[in-house]
Amino acid sequence: MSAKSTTSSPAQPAKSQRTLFQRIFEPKDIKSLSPARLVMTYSILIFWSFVVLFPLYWLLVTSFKLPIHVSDGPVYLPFIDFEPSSHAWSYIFFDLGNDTFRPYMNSLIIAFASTVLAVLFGSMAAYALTRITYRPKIMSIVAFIVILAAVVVATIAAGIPWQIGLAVGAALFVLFLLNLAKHFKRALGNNDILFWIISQRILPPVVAVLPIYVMFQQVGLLDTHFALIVVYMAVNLPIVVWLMRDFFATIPIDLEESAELDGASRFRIFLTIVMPLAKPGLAATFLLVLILSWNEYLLALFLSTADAQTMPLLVAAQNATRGPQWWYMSVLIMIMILPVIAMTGLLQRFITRGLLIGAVKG
Amino acid sequence: MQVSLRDIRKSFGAIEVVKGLDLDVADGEFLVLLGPSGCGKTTALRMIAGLETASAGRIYLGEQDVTDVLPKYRDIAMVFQSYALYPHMTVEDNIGYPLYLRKVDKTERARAIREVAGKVDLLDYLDRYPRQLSGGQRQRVALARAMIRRPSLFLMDEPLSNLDAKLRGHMRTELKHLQNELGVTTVYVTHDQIEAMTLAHRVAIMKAGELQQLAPPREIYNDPANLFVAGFIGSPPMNFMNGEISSGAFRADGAELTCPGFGDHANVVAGVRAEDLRIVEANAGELQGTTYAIELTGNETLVTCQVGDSLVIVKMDKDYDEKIGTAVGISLTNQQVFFFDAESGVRLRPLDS
Ligand SMILES: Nc1ncnc2c1ncn2[C@@H]1O[C@H](COP(=O)(O)OP(=O)(O)OP(=O)(O)O)[C@@H](O)[C@H]1O
Ligand SMILES: [Mg+2]
Repeated sequence: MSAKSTTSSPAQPAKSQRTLFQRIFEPKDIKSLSPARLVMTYSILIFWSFVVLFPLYWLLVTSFKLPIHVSDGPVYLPFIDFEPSSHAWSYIFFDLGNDTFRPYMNSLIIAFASTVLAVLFGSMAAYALTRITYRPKIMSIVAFIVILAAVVVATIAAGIPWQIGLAVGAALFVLFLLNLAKHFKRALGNNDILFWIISQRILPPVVAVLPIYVMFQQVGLLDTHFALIVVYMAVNLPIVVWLMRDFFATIPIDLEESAELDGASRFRIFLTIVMPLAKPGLAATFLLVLILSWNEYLLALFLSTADAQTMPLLVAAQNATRGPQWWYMSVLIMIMILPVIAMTGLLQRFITRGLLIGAVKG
Repeated sequence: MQVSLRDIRKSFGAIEVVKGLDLDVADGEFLVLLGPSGCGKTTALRMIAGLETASAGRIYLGEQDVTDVLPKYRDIAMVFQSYALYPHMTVEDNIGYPLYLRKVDKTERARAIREVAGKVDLLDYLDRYPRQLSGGQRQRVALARAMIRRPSLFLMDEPLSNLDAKLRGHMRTELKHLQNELGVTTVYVTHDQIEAMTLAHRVAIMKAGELQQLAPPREIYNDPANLFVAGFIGSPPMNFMNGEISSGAFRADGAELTCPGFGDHANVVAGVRAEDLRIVEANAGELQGTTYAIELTGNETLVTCQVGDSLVIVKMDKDYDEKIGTAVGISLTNQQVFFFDAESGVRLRPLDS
């Protein structure tokens, strides 16, 4: 074997030049493969498609099964193994009726609203972190907190409404900031801010679920869309900032400087130059965050009971006292994946088109 | 519009990269900033544009002090080395972007776009995207975008450096023509001396953040202010010989040049350009040496001779040929010899002038 490979090696310099990484992740054009390898490639692809698609298929057939078909052990083929029935579908759509549609609408509203907001604010934050250098002085942050607390306490003690105290505190802070900042060198940089943002996701959001619950209880916003939208947005912001920052960093600064000289404001540069160029990144991030919000269970469990109940809760509710109702769950899951598939289809063309940048070097 | 820099300085951290630049650019002038890589040309240009804040000094546009004015209020257009075309916009939208920002209405904008596109020969490409254009076409889009709003100042940072030699020559001509036609004050950065010589009304030569000489191209060539300028301008580079001046003559190994009027000086560098020398018979002429290499460049022959321990290049016509190693004499065809102080590089001049 060794003799053969050494003699044939000069004939295939191209192959040896490709690193293992390239050979795995940048495969050759499939049309140029030899028949044997073509068959093998397709076998592997078909096998993997089967692995991926089979659960979906099983969901589909299960949604048409009677309870007896499920409890009697696995059957796979409708009309041959079992007689399909639409009882589960009619139960979900007609018997439950509004109890299905309301969570469905809730899920749509909450997931889309929180995703749009998270992507909007997150990408603005990410852009600012890539392009603007922040140097908040540590001492001024400390001073801010101390002064604010002192003023609020003092005004409450003096019987002045706390809003006024807050305003006075903020005004004093601005005055103090300018003086204090001059004297203390230690400052936080962009990377510290970024790390602080990311650190919000080092522990899962669960750890904060009780405080969040109490907060919303206090302001009487439990079981509202607003509560879930705000919480989902906050929970997903760090992910958006983290992902989008990398996309913005790849946009050549020349483009923005050129626009600046042409007379564009920062916000206009962001809207007309940066955002269009970051479209693939935006689409990918949007999809990821959408799926995260769409599937979120635990926070929804705490923050919603009836009016704002979301789909994951409804699905879980089918695992009730009578044991898991697989057929109802299957129907719910089938209708639950539709919007995600639709969004993926819509956004896919942005994602696969890739970044336009790089194609414009002289 | 007139541009003035007054003692402009810029430091990045502890390193000062522009060290007190004083520069006046007249209205309508084409000024070229020339210097080796890393000497601070781009930094100086970016300070004029406002993309970089000056550590010290003032910048004036016309009468106005713009040192602390934001770039977008300076009415300056810049052509970047990378062209900085917006990849997601067509050529038309790229060119029209400055007008779009100024809320010029659609029909007027379209008319203006067609007018400048016509000037740079891009009318057939208005629907294309930058990635579908060649380097030269992209460069012209960048130019058109800079021209469309008639700025009071053009800044260009090596706009031709990404083009191949032939296109560069062509675009140079176009650029010069356009600038002359529009009459817009232009500051142009390059490290290519041919570009500087052909384009500029005046050339500012920089080295390590300091201005060396500011003069029209011809004067830079014929009357360099110091050793650096003399060696930087000209191709092949000026010949230098180390020696001394005493009693009205420069002496070095194998060379003796009369220099009436110069005071005695121990450590002198003499500079002569290749075209001011001719090969003559051995023992004739001011310099004595042996041929070292002979290169035919097309319409002329460059003859390198060893004189003492320096190499001297002589430009001869294309028919000249000689064996390598032959002893030859070299004579000056005119008295264009420059003397510099070897330590400071300062030009030495005759005492009576
Ligand atoms: N943002 C920066 N931070 C730190 N140093 C910088 C920065 N920009 C430029 N420099 C330094 O300043 C010096 C001058 O840079 P500049 O880009 O002005 O050179 P240049 O004359 O334009 O060179 P070239 O012909 O290669 O473009 C260089 O030594 C460079 O390393
Ligand atoms: Mg440069």
